[in-house]
Amino acid sequence: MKNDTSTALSRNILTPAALAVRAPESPSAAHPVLHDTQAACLVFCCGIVFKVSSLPGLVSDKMHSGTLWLYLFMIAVDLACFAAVACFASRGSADVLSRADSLSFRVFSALVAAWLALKGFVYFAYTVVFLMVDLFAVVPPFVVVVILALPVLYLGTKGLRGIARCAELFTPVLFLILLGSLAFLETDLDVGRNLPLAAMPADEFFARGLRFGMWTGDFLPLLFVRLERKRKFPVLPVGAGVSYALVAVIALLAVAMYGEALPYAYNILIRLSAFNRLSLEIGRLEWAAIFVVIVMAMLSLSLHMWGASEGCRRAFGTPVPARVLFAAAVIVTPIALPSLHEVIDFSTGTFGYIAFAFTVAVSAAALLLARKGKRAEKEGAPISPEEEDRDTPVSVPPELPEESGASAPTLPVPEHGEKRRADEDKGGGDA
Amino acid sequence: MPKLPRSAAARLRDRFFRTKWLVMLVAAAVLVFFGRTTDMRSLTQSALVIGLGIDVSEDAFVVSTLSVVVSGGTGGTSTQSFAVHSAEGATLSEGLDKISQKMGLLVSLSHCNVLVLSKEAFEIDGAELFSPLVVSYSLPEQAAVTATEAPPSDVLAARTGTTVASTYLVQSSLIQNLGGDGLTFVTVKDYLADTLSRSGSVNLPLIDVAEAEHPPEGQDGKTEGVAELTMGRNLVVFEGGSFVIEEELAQVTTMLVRNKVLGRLSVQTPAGDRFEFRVLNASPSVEADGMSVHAALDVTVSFMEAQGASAEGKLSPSSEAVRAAADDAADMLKERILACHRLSLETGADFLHLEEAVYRKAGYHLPKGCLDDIAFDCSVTVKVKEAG
Repeated sequence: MKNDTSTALSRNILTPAALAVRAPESPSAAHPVLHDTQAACLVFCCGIVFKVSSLPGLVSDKMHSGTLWLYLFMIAVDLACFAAVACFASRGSADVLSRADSLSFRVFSALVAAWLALKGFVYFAYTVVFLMVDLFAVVPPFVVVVILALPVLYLGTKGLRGIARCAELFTPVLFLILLGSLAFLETDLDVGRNLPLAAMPADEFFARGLRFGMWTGDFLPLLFVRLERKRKFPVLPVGAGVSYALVAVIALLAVAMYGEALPYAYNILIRLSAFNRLSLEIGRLEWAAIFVVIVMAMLSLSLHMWGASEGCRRAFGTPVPARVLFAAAVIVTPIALPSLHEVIDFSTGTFGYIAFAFTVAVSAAALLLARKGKRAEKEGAPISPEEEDRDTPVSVPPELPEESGASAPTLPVPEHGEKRRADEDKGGGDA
Repeated sequence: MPKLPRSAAARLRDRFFRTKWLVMLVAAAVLVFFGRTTDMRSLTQSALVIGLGIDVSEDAFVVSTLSVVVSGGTGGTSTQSFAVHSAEGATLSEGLDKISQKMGLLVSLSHCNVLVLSKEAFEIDGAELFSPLVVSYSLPEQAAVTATEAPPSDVLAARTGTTVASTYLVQSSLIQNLGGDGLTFVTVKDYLADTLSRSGSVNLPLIDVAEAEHPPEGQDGKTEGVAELTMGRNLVVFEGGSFVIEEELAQVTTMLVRNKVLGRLSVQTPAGDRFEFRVLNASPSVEADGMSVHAALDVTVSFMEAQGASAEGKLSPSSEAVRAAADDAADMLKERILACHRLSLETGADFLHLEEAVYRKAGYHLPKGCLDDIAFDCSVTVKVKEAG
């Protein structure tokens, strides 16, 4: 939804050298701004989908009755990492460090970009497997891959603004569907299946559990944005809290419903919606959950693609290599591989430990870089003449349409910051 | 069609291409609505299976389906008929494919709400049995699992006096708790959860088929071959096999393990009076303390009737005689629970889920198969309330 803070332009200072190297595609590309409500929607749409779909079954296969406890541990780690990323993003550290042309930040960006591209590809493989198993029986895989890849690549290329607006638009719908699934759930539940608390020794718990480290840090793309607060109410912490609480509740219910049979439930979100008290009256509501999973997966994959390309841009000055790599990986590899389950096996092997360590390390590094950025900001950097006019936040005129995705084609003679706003809309994206 | 001014057309075009959410919505809609959750095949090309029977003979599966065949009629009307088909196969998929060939229709299990399995079929691992049906044939996990000592195809083909298809009767009985006091509604999901649990045991409703004593009369006189289906008894399935328990034991097991409101309580006092209660609620709690388990069952009932009651005057839930009968009912239930425990020890089938209760406290190090080492006692209370 269009609003004033989403268009607020803050003090953006670029050295001429940095500007020359980075050569952003549009003015806003160098400074992706995300306000807190959009970030909260992105955390909800992109941060939980892969945790509540096929993951419970995979975790249960290894953790048995320790599934919920691993989830709680992972959520705690994820929230701590998210706090570090949010701290980094709210200070606009990415912009500050880009302006300072920090080598360490370039290396950091390159690593994160590569990681997001790889993780996006693995998630894409999961989504295709889900669609092939739960939705399509006799359709060739390339059809599913192409249908899924098109909106993902489109949104990922279009930029953060489009993804964020889609997330804002879909969040209420998806949230209500999820709540509806839980409210109308009718099945034999035994919460005691989550017991005992310490089902296995701690070393075994972590040795098995950290294999699922890939599912932490789904919000790392937010490292490259500047978070801005829209209202006094702490939307982002509350939104993240609600989202992660939902993950914990679904994990608890999954074990309570299935117990040791959970590994046979391929997608728990869809199973939850199938067991509803209205099924006799209006039929199985699986399609509603399938819609939730598909939309969330598309947004998450798009965000990963955007994160990879933005990281690439911050590191090398151009997002093109990351986009090409991502597109090739998601289109060619699923078709070329004999079975996508090889990707799934790979993701829950040693790769999981690496993923966990990487997420924690990147979050810690983000904190350190945020401090470095703060120091660089205090020391001050020369303001380029082009940036002089961007110092003052600018509001969108009230006559702008409220509709999501709407542009401002009828803006009256834009000046300074307003002109930049109009340029953004004309460019249609951030990256 | 009037031509739009250039600026308006350009605005519309820009607007369309900027609606990113629409692109996503269209792709999601395509994926959802062209998938198999909304099967686009014509009903006349599909065999909608509403009941599936599985039997095992020597080294082959005998698969039976009860399907609704929809055929087009004149004037846009369609007619329904029910057909039972059986086929043998080395796997369930082979059996179902053979049925498809026999019918000339594609078999779909997405509307199958009742599974009828023979005792022998339960010797197959539950995951191996149901997983292919759920994944490949869209069998709903909320489908009811039932057992029978008769051939499953006979149960599917049974003609009842009240419903057009036997599975409708089974489904209705399970949902409305009409099948008998020991009736237990076990879905595919529950079956897998229970058999894969530490206790590895599950109670299933056993369908008994008998010829109707008084078949309904049609226009041409009495209809032959009408059957009665009852589901009071249970089949206990565990790792070591399966056995049948009678309605009384099935009732307390269902109350204790599945926490369901079931049937009646019929009790005879020492004076010879018979009291009938309707069970309104059953609240079980099973607590483990080390290798000792205590089961507490609180049952709420309503008073229905008394025959030959020696007490004078009109009886009400607060009458002394009714309260005494409720206490007798509690003693009776306790005896039945203890009988279940004895049977459990004799057979090695942990259908009271005691090992699971101990595991939840003891954890990972609890050895498997420790049922004999678990001490057990129980307490039962029966409270009489007014029926709502």
